[in-house]
Amino acid sequence: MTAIAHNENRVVRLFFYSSITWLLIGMTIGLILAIKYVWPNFLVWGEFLQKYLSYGRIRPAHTHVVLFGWLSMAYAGGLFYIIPQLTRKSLEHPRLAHAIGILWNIYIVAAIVTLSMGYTTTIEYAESTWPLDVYLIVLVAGAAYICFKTIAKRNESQLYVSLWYFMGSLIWLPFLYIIGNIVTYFITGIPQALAGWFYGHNVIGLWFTTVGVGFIYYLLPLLSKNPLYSHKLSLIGFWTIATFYVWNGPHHLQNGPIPAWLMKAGVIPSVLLIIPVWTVLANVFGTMKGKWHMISENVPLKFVVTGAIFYLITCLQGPFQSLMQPSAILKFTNWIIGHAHMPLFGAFSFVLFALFYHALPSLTGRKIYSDTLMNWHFWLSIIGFLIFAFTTWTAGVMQGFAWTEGKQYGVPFLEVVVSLQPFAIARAIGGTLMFIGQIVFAYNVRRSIKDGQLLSVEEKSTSTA
Amino acid sequence: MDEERREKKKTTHEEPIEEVAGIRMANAKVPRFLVITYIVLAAWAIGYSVLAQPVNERTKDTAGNKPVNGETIVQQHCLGCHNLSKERLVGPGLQGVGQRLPGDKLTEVLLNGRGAMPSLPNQGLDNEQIKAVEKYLRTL
Repeated sequence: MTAIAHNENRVVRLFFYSSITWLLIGMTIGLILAIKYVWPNFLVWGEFLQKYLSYGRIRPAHTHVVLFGWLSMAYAGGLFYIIPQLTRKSLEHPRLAHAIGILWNIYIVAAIVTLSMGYTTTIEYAESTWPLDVYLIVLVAGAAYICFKTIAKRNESQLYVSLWYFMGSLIWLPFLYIIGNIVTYFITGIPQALAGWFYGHNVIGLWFTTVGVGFIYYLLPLLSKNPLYSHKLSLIGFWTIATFYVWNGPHHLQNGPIPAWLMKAGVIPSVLLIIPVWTVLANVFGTMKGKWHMISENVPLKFVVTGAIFYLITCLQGPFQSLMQPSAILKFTNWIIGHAHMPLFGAFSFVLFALFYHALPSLTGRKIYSDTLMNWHFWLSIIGFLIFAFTTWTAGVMQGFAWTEGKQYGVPFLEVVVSLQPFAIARAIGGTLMFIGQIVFAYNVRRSIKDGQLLSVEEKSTSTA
Repeated sequence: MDEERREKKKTTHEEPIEEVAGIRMANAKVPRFLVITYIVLAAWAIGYSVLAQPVNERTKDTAGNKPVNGETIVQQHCLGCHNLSKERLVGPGLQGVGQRLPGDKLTEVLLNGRGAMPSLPNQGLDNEQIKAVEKYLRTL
């Protein structure tokens, strides 16, 4: 395969390194939030900190930094890295892409500042105000333009399945973003809530999931050195997720003031998502056939397969909790927090870690500094996440049943809050382990760039293939 | 028949492998368990769309066992902090509260709380229940 052009290399590294920085910052904010559950007065020294680090302000700052700083910037970097590989064509407009990277970082800084100053739209994952939204839409549209132009001028006639996923996602994201962030300014009441959740769930399903699955399809055959199990399955998976996902929004308003038909219309496609998910997983397991032993030595492969399994678990849990009865218990509880972290951290961040470890040697010309640290990154992330997830799920079930028994107000409500203290502590411990894992990751990447062993000429030519 | 099937199974992995941009791609058929999954889910979706009924467990629960007897409610919600006698516990004793807070004053304390005492609406009591509590308290 062709060596990566110099300009393109610079763009991908800008996006990758920025995203790692945002990962650390976003998780620091997340950790502060987790500690506030245990010790509400944490960091409340003086009026300034009390105001700017209050829970309601930094919670959206956490979600914005990890969703748009870490995941989306890493995704854009991944697209700029993989699309040229799959099209055998160097990236179009690398200078524009580089400018988008710099402007994107400015967006995240502006979002953190405005959100902690208290400017918010109150719509989940769309809290930043409209001037920033318009700014980000322009950047996303620019990135999409570069990707589509590269694909249009490709030197490889057939489109590999990852490109289907990428192209779909790049069309969907700007539309979703406009509906959730701009359209919601002009409508009120239930339609606003529905439009907000249309965006809130689809940004997970038609951006984070679909690009992430595209990455899995790219990484798995390369890392396992097996052919992809079935092209046909991958296309069934693509078209069914494209068909069913858009209807997921209403299940967030389950048992709320929406018509019964709309509730059903939210539940049925949520459950039917099992079709694309199991189809993807059948392809993953089929591709891994005979190569499972490689997982013990190959850390990137370990990350991809673990990520795929978390994707499977997420999409069994999700359909279950979208049903009317489970939703009546679980809604608004800690359970949801555990569920929301599973696809974004457990599944797709893991896939990104694999992509970073796979791509860095060809970007820097140096091997990853330490395999041991890669393993530490893996185990700290997964153990920390499992502690975090199981405590939030258990606490959520307890909370939900207590509330249905009438402990929803006043003193009984506070008793429930107090009784969940041990879970809040365990959750903060899990979060700390996850965070330490990412510090190990960032340190390992930093050392690889500076002191990693240089690739030999032979390795250079195969590292991108 | 059995042999034939086994042979077929073998060949699904032997189908021609294409290569796209350096990635090899086989073309295995859709596994049978997935086909069954698709059919089961489709049948469930049709059934659910026709038969499912929305739930509203919370109102059912609270509507069913809601006490409207003032004495019962006071026992459940107030005696953690108040004695029925004149003796002080966390808050003042309830005996004679009707004389100490005549007319609207008692209503106001019940509806809005006072000091550390939470208001009754905040404890999940509705208007009917609060009226019953007030009526009972005035008899003490």
